[in-house]
Amino acid sequence: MRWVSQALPQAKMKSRSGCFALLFLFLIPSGRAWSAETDAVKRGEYIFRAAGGCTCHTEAEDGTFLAGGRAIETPFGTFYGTNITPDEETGIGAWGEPDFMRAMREGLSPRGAHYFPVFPYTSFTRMRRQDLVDLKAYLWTVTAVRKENRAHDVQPPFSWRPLLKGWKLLNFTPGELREDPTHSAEWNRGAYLVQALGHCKECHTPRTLLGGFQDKMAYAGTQDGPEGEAVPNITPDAETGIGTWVVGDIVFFLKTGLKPSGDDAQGLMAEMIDNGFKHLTDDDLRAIAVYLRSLPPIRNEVNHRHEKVATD
Amino acid sequence: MGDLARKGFAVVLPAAVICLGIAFARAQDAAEGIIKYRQNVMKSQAGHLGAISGVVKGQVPFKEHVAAHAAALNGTSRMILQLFPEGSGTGETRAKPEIWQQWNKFKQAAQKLQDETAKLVQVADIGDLDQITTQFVVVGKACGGCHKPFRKRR
Repeated sequence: MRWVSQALPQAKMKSRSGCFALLFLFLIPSGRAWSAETDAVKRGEYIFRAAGGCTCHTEAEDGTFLAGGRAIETPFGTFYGTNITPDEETGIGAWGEPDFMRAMREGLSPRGAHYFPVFPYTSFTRMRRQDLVDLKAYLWTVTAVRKENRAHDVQPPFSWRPLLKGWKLLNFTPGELREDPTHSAEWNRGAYLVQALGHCKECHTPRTLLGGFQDKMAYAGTQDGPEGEAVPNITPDAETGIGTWVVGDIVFFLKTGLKPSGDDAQGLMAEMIDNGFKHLTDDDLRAIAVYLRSLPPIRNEVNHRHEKVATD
Repeated sequence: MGDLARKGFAVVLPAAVICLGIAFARAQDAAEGIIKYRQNVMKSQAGHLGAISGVVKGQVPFKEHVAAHAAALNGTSRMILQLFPEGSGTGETRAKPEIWQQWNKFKQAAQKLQDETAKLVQVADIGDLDQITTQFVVVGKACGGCHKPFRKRR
């Protein structure tokens, strides 16, 4: 469509008759096909941003974009982010759409092996089909990089993939997020962004000994986050969470990484803002804020290891 | 003679131990002092940044206050190199040893904050809120430019 509108003035100048019509006819079909494809890629890029830029798949400190290798320390061992560039041998370039869908929604590899839940399919399973299709379209435009995946460094029994079948029975409910008609459209959009795309719960919720979510503590933060870091409580509890943050504070934080206190975001969150959240529309960031502020406040002081150091 | 030497020792040795002890305690006090001082300076910076962010978000109408906050930030950012003398990396601090291992990089990062806060002063004087917002975000990034490589995470 953009091509058409750019061509119009020229066509008008040249002739008022057949030439104009001919040009128009010629441009429309190719223009449409082109724009449908790029629209999907554009939408997919937005989905990618809303998912925090898939930061765990890029090595820290100027790593190759999405080529994997990033170490993610967890209480269960060290996992290494995988290559999700469209390289056919070492990345995911050989995957068809059903493969991609199965990975994101069911946590299964094309060969049917269970993925470790460090890959947050527990959240991505809530995504809408069209968003997944678009995300795939975008990922396939990324530069393909040949880089072998690094084996995870995880001790048994956590390293035994077949056991993950049992883990999934206990801790994983596949399926898209359903709209809640008792809430506003904005709230529902926020719920989708937080639960499905942003996968906030994955880091901001403490886990059980087996690595499932402690649902009663959803979003209340944890001492044992990825990369050995504490993760803040993002429920609206005034003392231990972000209850004093108004909607504008949350929006501004997700755009800039700056907290109302004047301090800045750290670690993975800082990267997810840079690679992802800061590119979202104000409306979407506001929806996230509205949803987060509607969560039940949970009192949970996340005891930062160096907290005393920082504040005394 | 031997007796005198022994008596001498009896006086000198404890005195030496006490002197050393005092010197050590002083050094530690000094290190704790500088850490405390630098945390207070950093907290003051966070305070000014937080205050400006209130203006930028439209939560308060005090656009004309920004210049003063920015000037304060610029003033304290000029102190940063002095706040990190050798030996002030141990104890109750989140300062990483990389500060002294990569002093030049640290210096550049500190210089960056000086430059960007100076620009914020200029922009604040002009008084355009969009410009202030943009430059404020750049200043925030400059904070991160030091915090990311040189400050231990919590």
